[in-house]
Amino acid sequence: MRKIYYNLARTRKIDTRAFALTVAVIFLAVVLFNSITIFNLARQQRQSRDEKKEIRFAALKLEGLQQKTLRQQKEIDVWKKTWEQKLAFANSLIERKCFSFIFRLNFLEKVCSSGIRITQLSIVNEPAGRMQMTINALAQNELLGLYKKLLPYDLVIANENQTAENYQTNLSFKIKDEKK
Amino acid sequence: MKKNKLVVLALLVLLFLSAAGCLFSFVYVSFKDLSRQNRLKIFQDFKRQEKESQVLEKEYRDWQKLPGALQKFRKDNILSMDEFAVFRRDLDSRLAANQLQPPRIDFTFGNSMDNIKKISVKFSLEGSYRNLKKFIFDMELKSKMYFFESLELSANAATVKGAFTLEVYLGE
Repeated sequence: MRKIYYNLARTRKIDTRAFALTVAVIFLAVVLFNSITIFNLARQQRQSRDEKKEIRFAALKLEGLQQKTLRQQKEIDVWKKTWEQKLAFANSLIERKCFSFIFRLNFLEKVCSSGIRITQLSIVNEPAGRMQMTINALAQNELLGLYKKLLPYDLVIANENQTAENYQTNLSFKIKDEKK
Repeated sequence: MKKNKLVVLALLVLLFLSAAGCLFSFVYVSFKDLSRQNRLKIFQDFKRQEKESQVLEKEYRDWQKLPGALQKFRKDNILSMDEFAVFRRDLDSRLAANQLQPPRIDFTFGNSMDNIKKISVKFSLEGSYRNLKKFIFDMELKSKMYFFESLELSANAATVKGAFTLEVYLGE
């Protein structure tokens, strides 16, 4: 004979296992969220504390640096007033001492071919000074060859004339000392 | 049953709050990261200023050394009044060594600058190009502060004539 069971409870019977599982899952989720929150905030706080410390240190250093810079700038200004003229004079002497006439003569020997004769040459020791010379060339192509070589040196050609025997012309150009 | 419902409800509220807190922590961290960029800018400014200060420090040290360096330059390169006689002898010996003989030598004393007097020495020479060039080379080699101010060369049949101006600086 089949037994009949009656549930007389006022509310539904709870499945304890399912309930416990749900509670556990929710609880774990709560723990997980809170852990993440605490980790984030703690990390942020640590970072912020370190940075504050660094900023304080940097600010102190910066203040010292600014004072030092100001003091040094003032001293430099005083020195400049006293020494700048003497320094400029010494530098101009050194620059003129470094001006090489030999370098210029060697240069001329290199660019002038055997058919060219320099009859006059003038060199002045000035940074922007021009070399001036009068030359005689046996043939026009020799002359043109020299012009070509001197073109990069601000060449100015004046008074070119042709006689029965040769070509004569005045040239001027600028040449800088080679870097030592 | 009611109690259990309450428990679940309470846990769900807690879960919601936790999730909201977690979300807030991410937003907060991101916001802080943004403001960190500004702080980094402060550090960059500091670094820049530090670099500028290092450059100035170098300039400061250079200026500090300058009086000594100028003193040394003067001592090593500028002829003293006593050394002028040495220069004269040296000039004569360089001329003689290159078989050159100037008909005359003119000295013109110029103004002083920083207690250094300029003397212009003018002379003309005639000789072979090789000898004249060797003489110029010898004079340029000297470390003391004298140098050619100008030279004019003109070619004759077999020789070269040269008009030289030499500048000599004497310490007073």
